[in-house]
Amino acid sequence: MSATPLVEARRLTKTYGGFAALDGVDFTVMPGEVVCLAGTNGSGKSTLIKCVSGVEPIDAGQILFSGTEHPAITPTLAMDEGVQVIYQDLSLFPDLPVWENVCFQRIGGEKRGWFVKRREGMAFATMQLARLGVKVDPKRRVERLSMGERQSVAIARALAQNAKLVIMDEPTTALPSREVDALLGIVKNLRSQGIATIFVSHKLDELFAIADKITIIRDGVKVGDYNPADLDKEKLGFLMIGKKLDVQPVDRSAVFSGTPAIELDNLVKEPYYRGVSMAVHPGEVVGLTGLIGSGRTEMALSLFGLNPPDGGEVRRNGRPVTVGKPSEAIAAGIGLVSEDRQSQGLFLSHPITTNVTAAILDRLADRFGLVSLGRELDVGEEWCGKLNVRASSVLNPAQSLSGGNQQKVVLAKWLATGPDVLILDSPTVGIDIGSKADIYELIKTVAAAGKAVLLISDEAEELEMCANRVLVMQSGEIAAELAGADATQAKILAAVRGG
Amino acid sequence: MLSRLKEWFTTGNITVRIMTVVLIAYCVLVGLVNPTFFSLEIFLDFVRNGAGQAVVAMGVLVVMISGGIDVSFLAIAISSSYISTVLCTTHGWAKPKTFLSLLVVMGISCLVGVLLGCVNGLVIYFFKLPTFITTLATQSIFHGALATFVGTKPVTASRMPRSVIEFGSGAIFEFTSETGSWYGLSYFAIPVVFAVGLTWFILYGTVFGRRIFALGSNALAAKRCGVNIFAAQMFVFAYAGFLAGVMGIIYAADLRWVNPITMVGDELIVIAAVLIGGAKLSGGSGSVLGTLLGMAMIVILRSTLVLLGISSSWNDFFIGAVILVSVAVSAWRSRQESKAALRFDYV
Amino acid sequence: MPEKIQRRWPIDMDSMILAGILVAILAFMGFALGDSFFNIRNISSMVSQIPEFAFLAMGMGVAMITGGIDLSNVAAMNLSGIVLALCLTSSRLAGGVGIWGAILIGAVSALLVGVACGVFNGLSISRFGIPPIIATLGSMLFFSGLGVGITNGEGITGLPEQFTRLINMTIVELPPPFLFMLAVFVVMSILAPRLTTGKTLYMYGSSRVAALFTGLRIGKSLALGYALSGLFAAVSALILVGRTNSIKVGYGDTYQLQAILVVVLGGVNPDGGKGKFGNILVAVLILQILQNAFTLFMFTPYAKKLIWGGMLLAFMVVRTLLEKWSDRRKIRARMAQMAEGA
Repeated sequence: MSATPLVEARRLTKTYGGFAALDGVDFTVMPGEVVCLAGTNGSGKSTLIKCVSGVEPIDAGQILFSGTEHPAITPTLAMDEGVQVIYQDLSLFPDLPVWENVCFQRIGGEKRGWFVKRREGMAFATMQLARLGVKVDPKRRVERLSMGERQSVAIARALAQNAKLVIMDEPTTALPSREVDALLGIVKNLRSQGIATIFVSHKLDELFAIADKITIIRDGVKVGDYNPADLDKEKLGFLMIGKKLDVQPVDRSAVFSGTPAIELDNLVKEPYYRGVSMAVHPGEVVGLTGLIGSGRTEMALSLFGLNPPDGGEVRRNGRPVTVGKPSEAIAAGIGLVSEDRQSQGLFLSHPITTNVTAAILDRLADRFGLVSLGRELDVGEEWCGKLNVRASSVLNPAQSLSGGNQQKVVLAKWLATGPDVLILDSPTVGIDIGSKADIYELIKTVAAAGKAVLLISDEAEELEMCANRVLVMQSGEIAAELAGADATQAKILAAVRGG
Repeated sequence: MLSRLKEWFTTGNITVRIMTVVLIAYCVLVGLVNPTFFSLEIFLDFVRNGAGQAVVAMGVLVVMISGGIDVSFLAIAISSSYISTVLCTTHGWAKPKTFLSLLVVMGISCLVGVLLGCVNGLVIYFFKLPTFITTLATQSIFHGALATFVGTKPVTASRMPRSVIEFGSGAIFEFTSETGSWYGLSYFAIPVVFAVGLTWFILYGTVFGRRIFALGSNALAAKRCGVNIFAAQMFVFAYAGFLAGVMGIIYAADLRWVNPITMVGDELIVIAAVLIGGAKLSGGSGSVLGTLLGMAMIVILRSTLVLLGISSSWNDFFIGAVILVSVAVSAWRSRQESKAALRFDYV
Repeated sequence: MPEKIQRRWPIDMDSMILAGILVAILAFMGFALGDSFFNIRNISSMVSQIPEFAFLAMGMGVAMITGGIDLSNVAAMNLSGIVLALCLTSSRLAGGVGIWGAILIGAVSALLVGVACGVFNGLSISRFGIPPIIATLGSMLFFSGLGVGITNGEGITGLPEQFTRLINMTIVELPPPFLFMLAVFVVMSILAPRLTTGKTLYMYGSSRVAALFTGLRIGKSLALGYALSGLFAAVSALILVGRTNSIKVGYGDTYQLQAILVVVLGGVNPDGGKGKFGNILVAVLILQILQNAFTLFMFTPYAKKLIWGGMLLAFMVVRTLLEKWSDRRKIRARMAQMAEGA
């Protein structure tokens, strides 16, 4: 292999205020190669992408494009070198029409003039979309498109700029499963056209499906480059995490019967999900999995009053309830630990105690509506002690905590409300392995205390360890139920992918 | 032509559509109550009365599309027109009653406007400050500095450059009404057409204009796509300052008087027109046509309540009501959309 | 236990800096102006001017803590002042219930008008989702338009002297509005961070999405918060009408910018979630002393305008720089911590 790499990074280092997000990473992409970047959240994958695409300046090291070194890499330079990034949020302009999004860099025509060349741009955009086999009206505003359509627009935009390297940051998370296959097809198609791809994903089987090379990063340091043939999932997982999780799997022999704590009967909310029936008994942990967009989070939001269902019934302890807003959910004994801890779960600039007591203010208040600070502090300290939150003071702002401790604070907030039903949406995303084990133990303790737990998760391992049984959602419907010996990682994964 | 109109009406911007209908309905109502409403004279009066605000509304529109807001334009207008007229009278520039002399006055005014707009842009870009409070502060600064350092003596009609007076009193074409008085299409129509045309061209015809939309629509994505955010932000505030400079001269010509102490006009009306016309405070949307219609709505409302038999003291009340209803409707609609799409940005 | 003490008597940077500025300005005044500043007459005139502005500033503080702004509070003040003045000057009302009855009815209806204005703002923000800037900008025009409509834009004068005397009397050299203002500041600084509604608004200001996902009563709390802002506007209307013996739409327009200025100066984050009423009080005092000094120095109103605007801008710039600096320090401290742990 003496060909010049398309992108070559040497001893790449990037620090944020003294913290090394990348520490001497070497990284190469050959023309037409599909490189999968693997690593846990916070490992430095995103930073690497930002450096290569010029969004973040590097502190030390070099990045060479086709063998040429540049003193400083700007987004424009990276784009001129054919590097195109498709971010997780897609970075589209919702108020602009599809065609302007697709040919954003050449709205002024091929020669990049000063004036809008509407007809030329429209034709060009239509052509790019056709290359992907997608039919979208180029005049529609992106705001009005589905997630899958938006993804296509983002890829079309990358292609429109003569991309030699397309970087996709977790492109499949927001896609329904059939569109994932379409996307993997597109990546293979790009490879056959000589366009390289850096593919970032948490879903290991996607990595194995398309990678020519897997580069693993851990804590800002490169672990190594691997040929996918030399790896299996277990080994890959080990290399990403660095150590093995030590948790006792849940007891699968337990049988739950009687009146369910919460029961869903034929619940419908178009276009998100339909005909969903399930029950969770006191003391039971039911796992719910499926791809993002399969309706699992949308259904959880319905139970919490943030996505009122169109039809069907929810019963608590056998009695029908309507939950129209979160405060009614709390009153009905339902708590939701939502998937986006930072923006939905926490008041980051407020003290830990305030966060813990946020959902039970009414209960702490006396009849004048006053919350005694001493009382608040006591409750905060009590829960931080119970959940083993590591903080030097419970008065520190929540943003000073690590991810795992932040999640424990959110859990404390909901446990403090004394819910009978606790819904956990992806509770261990972006959490270090030590806190992960703590949270698994906590889930078991909560269930043992007689609460019904609905555990939504992407990670088959997590479900295998914590859930008494596992429900799998696909395109808005419950596609499979795995209980007892069937609830193994392999079977869960297969069911998720529609196998 | 008719089918083209029909197509525009069914596919176009919904705010513009609603506005058109409401405006026509209101005009018909006024006409029914008071048939004198449908006269060329009254229409030409609207043009004259709304000219200054329509010009500066274009600038505010551009700022809002980029995701900001500018409430300093009145202070800029008064500063630039005062500095310009004072400079021209003391140095004897712009003496003759010619078009060129008007251009000199206007040019200096616009230049001052652009400079002050740049101050806004620089502060907001470099310190990432909220645009509303920042421009509220600069409004105070500009006006205070003008009166403190430049002067407080008004420029009266007798000292005003003749060309400016002529600009305010003359007409492109004139008629004699039945009662024997003169009326006509004021010269003010020219800067309005110029500002509307230029803004239209910049926003819809140039790549840079699309970049401004992009910046307001998704600032992070714009940064990633290599949009020069500094240039865009500087431009929008400078452009608003530029048009404020034009507005200042229109006001000077209209009133034949530039008083640096009192700020004439209503910034609220201008911002309201842009908002009613469909611009979002969060940026990315807004239209030239909608803004013009919003301006027309307010100007017509203001001058026709009397025709409906309502005292003009109630003007502000009704305009306030119109603003609140129209922003409530659009905020409500986008909130319902967000709720349905499970985007939790609506709280 | 030290934690409880820390929580109950929080001393933060903002308070220290503000107290420092206040002391420095007072010292400068004593040095530069001496007796012409520190004399009973000057101080009592200052003291009588503070309350009406302080109440507006407090209302603005409530709105800005929620991450919003209340641009309509001067208009609400004028509107409730007009209602008050109308009640006081109505000979039929005075004839029916006597002058003190008219004063009582007038004051109560003025307060109710203020509260109604606030609730109107709160609902248009929480129910319709109008951004606070726009909602209160629109209602500002609406309220003052209502005032102009009622009065034809003319001032109301000639109020019964019983009322003006009531507002302008003194208790131990201090006017009751000033004492009342101090009491309200004390109550607000104690209650705002402890009442459930207050806590809800602080949390809402810090993260609206998290407030939604925590099941906080957002709509009710916002309505209450803006209602409080309206109530304060009405209180300052009572004081303003009593002090000037007249009311007209347009009174107190300069307070708008100054209210925002003192709230920002008092350490309220314009993005919401943070701010202490005690600090706002200190900021109000600072502003008033400066105002007074500018008058003694014979600054023109325009020079004042320039200085207020400049101060507002300067404080926001300083705040941004300080935040950047402290962020950097925090990151460094955390890195050091991690290095220790590793």
